[in-house]
Amino acid sequence: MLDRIWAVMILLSFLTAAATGRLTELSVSIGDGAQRAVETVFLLTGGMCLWSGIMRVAEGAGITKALSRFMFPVISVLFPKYAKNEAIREKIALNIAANMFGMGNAATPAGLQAMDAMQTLEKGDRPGGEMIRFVVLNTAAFQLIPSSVVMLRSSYGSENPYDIMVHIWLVSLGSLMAALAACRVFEKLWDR
Amino acid sequence: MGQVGAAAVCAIIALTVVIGFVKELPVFTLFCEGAGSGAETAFRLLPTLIGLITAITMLRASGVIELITHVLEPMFGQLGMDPEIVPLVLLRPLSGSGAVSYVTELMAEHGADADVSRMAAILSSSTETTFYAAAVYFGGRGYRSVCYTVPAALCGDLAAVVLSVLSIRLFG
Repeated sequence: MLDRIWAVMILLSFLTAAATGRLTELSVSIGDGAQRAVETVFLLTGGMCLWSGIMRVAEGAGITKALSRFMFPVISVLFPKYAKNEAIREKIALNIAANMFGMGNAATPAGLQAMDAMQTLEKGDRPGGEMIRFVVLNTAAFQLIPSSVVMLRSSYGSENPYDIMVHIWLVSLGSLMAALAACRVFEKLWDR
Repeated sequence: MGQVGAAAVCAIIALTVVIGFVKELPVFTLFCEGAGSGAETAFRLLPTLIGLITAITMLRASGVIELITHVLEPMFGQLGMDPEIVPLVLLRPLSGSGAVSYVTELMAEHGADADVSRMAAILSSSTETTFYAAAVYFGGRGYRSVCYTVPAALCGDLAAVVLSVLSIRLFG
């Protein structure tokens, strides 16, 4: 799937640029894109190191264990197969909690560690259903305080930058439910 | 409320370190161990992100988003949606920074409290950058297929578009 999407993206941009006479712009963008990726990773590295370090301390102090116990009801509904595995459950709990608090730099390393652990238990050349559900959950994250958009709105003179917060909660919860429902339906269709 | 978020982040770090210290853990050693693994994680993402961000930058430079916008605009107009939301619908799953800069443009042009700006703010905060997340979590794992991950995630994105229009209509 990722192979196909990547190939389609590149082919589509080449064809469109050729048809609209923007091949020069396209060739410039190729170098830019690669450089931007390196910059992105550099910008991420500080936050990821910091949060991975703090998470390691939290693990040692038993804080993540308490968090994962607190979140067990949710996790056991979403990931019944891996909720019993304590190490994986802790990583999933951290990932979900960090996403809710808008700390993407903490959510990503925890999520990748959860994926690593799930992959070692899952044989084959395709991911298991719960791994897919976990990734889909991360494509539809739910955030309690959407601080960046609130800041953006107040800097553009909004009278009440928070007045869209309830909208955002409802829309993101609804879209999360839709994505999880789609997972359930596609999972059944896929094996046939 | 913005301060609540900032305070929470500081409190989480301070509390974690203090609890670890009180439990007589080697907090700094543990921190450095974890930070090292964070650096590995970040650099493991590099090849995936170079591939993905290059493709997305190419896609945006080629003008294909404008092209699809032209095709979709009349459809959105008939559904009673502001056609100016269409580029955001296309950008949001592909590029987080691209989506933010488009929302910024809309706010600069129409003001932050215009319906179209509010809808854009709601939509862009209610979903994640789908392709980025899928690539980050599945990239470099050697899977030949990631099955229905992208279609299922896009169902969520589509639901977010519909719901953000509805939410403005219902709650103003």
